Amino acid sequence: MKNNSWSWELPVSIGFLILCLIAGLWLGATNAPRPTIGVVRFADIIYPESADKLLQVINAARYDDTIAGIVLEIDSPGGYATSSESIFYSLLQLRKAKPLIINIDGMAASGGYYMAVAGNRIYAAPSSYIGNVGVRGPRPFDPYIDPMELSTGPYKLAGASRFDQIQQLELLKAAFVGNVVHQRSHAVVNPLKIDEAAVAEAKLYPGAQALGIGYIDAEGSRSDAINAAAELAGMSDYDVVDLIDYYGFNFRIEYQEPTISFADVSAQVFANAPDNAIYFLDSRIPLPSIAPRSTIEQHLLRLRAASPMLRSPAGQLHAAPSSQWVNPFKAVPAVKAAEGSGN
Amino acid sequence: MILLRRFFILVLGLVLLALPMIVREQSWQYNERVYTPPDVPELSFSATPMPTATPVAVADPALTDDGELRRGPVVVDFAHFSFLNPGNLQPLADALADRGLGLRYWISQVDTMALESAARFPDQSEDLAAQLKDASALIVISPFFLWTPQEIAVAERFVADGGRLLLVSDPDVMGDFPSLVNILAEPFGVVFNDDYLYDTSKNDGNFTFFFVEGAEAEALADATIAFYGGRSISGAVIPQMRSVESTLSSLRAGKNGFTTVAIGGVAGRGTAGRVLALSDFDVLTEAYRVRYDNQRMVEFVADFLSADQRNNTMPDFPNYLGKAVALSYGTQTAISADLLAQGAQLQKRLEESGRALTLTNGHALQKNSGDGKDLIYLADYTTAYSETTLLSDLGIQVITEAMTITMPVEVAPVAEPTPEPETPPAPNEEPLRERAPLTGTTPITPTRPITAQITVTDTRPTPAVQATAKATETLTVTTAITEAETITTSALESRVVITTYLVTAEGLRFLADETVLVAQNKREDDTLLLAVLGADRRGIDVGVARLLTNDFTDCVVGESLTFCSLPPEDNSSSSSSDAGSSEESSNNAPGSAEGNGESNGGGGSDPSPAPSEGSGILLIDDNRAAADGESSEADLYLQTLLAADHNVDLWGTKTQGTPTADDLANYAWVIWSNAGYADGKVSLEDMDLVFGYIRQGGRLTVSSRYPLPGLEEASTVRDVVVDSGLTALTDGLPDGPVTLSDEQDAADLSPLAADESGVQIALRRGPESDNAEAPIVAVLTDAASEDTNARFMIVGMAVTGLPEEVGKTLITNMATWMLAE
Repeated sequence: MKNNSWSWELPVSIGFLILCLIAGLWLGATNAPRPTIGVVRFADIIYPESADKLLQVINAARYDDTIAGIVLEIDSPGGYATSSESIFYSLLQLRKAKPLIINIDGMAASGGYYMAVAGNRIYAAPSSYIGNVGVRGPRPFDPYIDPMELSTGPYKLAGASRFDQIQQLELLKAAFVGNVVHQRSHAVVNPLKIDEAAVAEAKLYPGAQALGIGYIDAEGSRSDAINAAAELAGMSDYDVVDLIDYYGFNFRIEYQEPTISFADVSAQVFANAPDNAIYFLDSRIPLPSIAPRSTIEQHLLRLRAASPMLRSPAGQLHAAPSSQWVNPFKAVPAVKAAEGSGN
Repeated sequence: MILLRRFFILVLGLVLLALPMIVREQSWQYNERVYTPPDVPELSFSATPMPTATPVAVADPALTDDGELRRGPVVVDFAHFSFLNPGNLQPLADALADRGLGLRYWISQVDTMALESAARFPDQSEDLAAQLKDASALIVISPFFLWTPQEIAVAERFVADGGRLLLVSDPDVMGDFPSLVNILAEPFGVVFNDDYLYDTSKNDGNFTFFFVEGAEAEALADATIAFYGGRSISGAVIPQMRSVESTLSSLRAGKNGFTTVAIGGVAGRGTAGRVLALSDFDVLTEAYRVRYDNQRMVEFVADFLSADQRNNTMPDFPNYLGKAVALSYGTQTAISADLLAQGAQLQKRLEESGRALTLTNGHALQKNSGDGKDLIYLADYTTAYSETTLLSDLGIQVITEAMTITMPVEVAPVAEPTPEPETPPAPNEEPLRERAPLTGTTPITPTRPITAQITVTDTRPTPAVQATAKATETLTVTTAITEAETITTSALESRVVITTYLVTAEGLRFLADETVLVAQNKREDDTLLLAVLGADRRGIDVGVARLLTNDFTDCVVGESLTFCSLPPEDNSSSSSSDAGSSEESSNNAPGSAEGNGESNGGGGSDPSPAPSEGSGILLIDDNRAAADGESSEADLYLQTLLAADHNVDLWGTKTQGTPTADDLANYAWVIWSNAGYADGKVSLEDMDLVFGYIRQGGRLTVSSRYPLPGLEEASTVRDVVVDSGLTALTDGLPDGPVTLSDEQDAADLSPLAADESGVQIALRRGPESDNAEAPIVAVLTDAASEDTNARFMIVGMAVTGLPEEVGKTLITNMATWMLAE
């Protein structure tokens, strides 16, 4: 009787245990949380709207445990100083929580590079352009009286004296250069190899040179960046998601949208900028604040631009630079930018 | 036991169920984060804003010495469209004002919006020359458009003449393009490099705000000067300041110590040391001049610009004159209103430059001192030569040559001698003599052209007119003239023409009638004598006008002597320039008429007495409406008046345009003739001119088929009859109807006859004419015109239609009556 009982119980028990094992494996595979690497692409000039989109995405990812690491893909000439700094400090906070890998796809100039140095590692294609660490802004002007307005204090309208404004621009530069030097000097893979003065020269480097001086950690692409993020996250099995799609945002952070050209975007950006806005912007892009304003000035500069013998090689005339890279802003005529600025 | 075994299996099954997940989470650590963030602390960038500067009292402005003349301004080139705010020049203007110099902005008249190419910017050299006439220095800052070669030549002459030039090429001025600036800079040995200088280690708040050292410039020794955006300067220059060692160039890699302030100029062109090149403009502007020792740079530039005095030549009037100037008229007659007005113009011009002009007597030149005042002396050659030693001091002789001209004479049959009971008898009545040929622009050709043999019968220096002993010589000459002229046969006529020359020490001979001499001469007390000399009043006027306008374009300018030509357009050209005789040109010269009268015969032996003393006749051939083939009526007027020895100047409206009131003002009688042309009419605009002249006391004859606007209903004139209303005009004319050689259509002037308030009629239409008895020749007067001795005569037909003798008699009578006192 006893043996008979075991004789049928044994196969049933084995079957039950196998079934439990299979079910356990299935549950483990399907219901256990799976590590994910999130990718977000920022291909735009840096201005409040584009910065806000990026900050929405990285804040969402920062508090999402399923996102083990983040790859930020940058193709930006920079932009507003304040927006660039805002992104930089937000990325620093993100980096404290999760690995942040930067992939420069095209260019990361000025403010674009400012956000890049917040990453744990920076990858870039050899043909990308990187650097141009510096600040731009309109020439300072002296305090004035607005005949249509009553104000209090000699600097209420101008904000500061001429030399205050010069000093303030230098302070912004010092912060920018200092942060770049500080972050890149602590880079684990390829720390900075030039001094602060060299950084302050604001040179723009192709990827190969940028690697040589420690502006980036390695030549590579998005895949390298994802692998690096997983590596830093300690993962070998993970998913990769586009964070904007992952969180269901209905925007892109790219200027190359089907119906809006980059020229339109930049013109709109400059149009909304205050006159004395400070930029971390690729120096090859003319600032609207120094573009010729009066009709006569515009006419005179057009005349000279049309005369090969008289065309200045300098950036004053805002002609398209003859550099090798394809500058998406070169399609933005200075006059148009000025008209767009409402000046 | 069975239950225990079954419980064990159940537990084992649950373990197997959970084990994969546990292994995944705990053992394999799928969702465990091994990530360790980098230990990089965040930096903090804090800075203390600069405190507001403690104010320091502004230095007291330096008062300029009231006893010194204000020097010529510093011209700032805005005509090539520098993108500069003129207000930025204020610090430099302050420094220059302390040195007695002001700024003048040269603004272009070019319509930039109409420009189609930057390379075709128009030449402004004439404007530049005008701007620099009295300037002390020129400032050119980052011009946007090219300087033309002509403009550069003007600038070079200016600098070579003692002017100073400040050239600035500032890389942070919009539109600055050193290649363009160098087009102007290179002729002065200056080259601005197409770079910018920067210093990332030692600067004034920005890497482009670098420091320069002044080792070469004594005035800037030990100064700390900051440049706010500058470039390097090369070329054949003397460096004044260089960038410090740590300053680098954007283009000239591997070098330092760049020149940023330099003295340029080319010795071979006389510009050495008079050009200052500066590669930053901001250092001179208000916001930056208070930094470090930058104010010393402003002072240095101002010192440079005010250092030299221009080498003022004759065209730079009145820059070479002192603060106090006296004016002396070299005339023996009373100072007329015209002379006084001329003096007022000179006074105004001098006062504009801070000088004072006072009148002094005509003998001021005789003493070789001016009581500390410079002297302007206006005189004709004769007076200057006779009363002063000025011309001889200048090495100039005045020589007169008498030439006998022998010419064939047309013997025109005269119906009967014309009695001239009311004509002022000339002391020495002569046969008909040819006058000067007409100007080539007129359609009229003299019927008796001069085909003369010229024989010089006497050549001698013009003697002192009033010196008794020399006057004898003059009389001798005149006697010779009289004798020569009396040798007249029925086929040949002799005439003497006296020509006056100015002969320099080098033997150069200038026709006195066609030359204006402006001379400078230092006097014993170191004051300056400025003399304007001409053959007559017109010459003096032209000389003074050149001084007032600084226009010496057709003059030969020397260090102390300037010879100018007389403009040919003047209305006396037809009679004076061709003949060159001082006797004819003296008629309009109050200052010389008396002297010439004496030199040509003293006691009334002048061979060509003018009908009206000091006046002439202007014959206006209004040929605007002349058709091809039509002959001028003015021809008959001209020939008749010349035959009667009247001074006649001809004016053709087709070539010379409508004369102005000023053109008419100097004539005693004006004849407006267009009756020879079928379409010749007097317009309302013409009448404004006519009445304006008459209101000033002028006497004018309109000889036109349509002499009055509004009276243009034409009818045919076939004959005329004499009216008894104005016998002075009809003396010698037939009493009965005079049939015209060709009938004419002319305006019916009957309404004139109805106006009995002041119309005197000399001729009427004859019985064969339409509108018989209608006035043909009438004189209009009114109370106002009588007060001013004005006369307005209307001749409503072409006098060429009358028989020739009748026409000439009528014209002769008209001249006699119109020129009578």
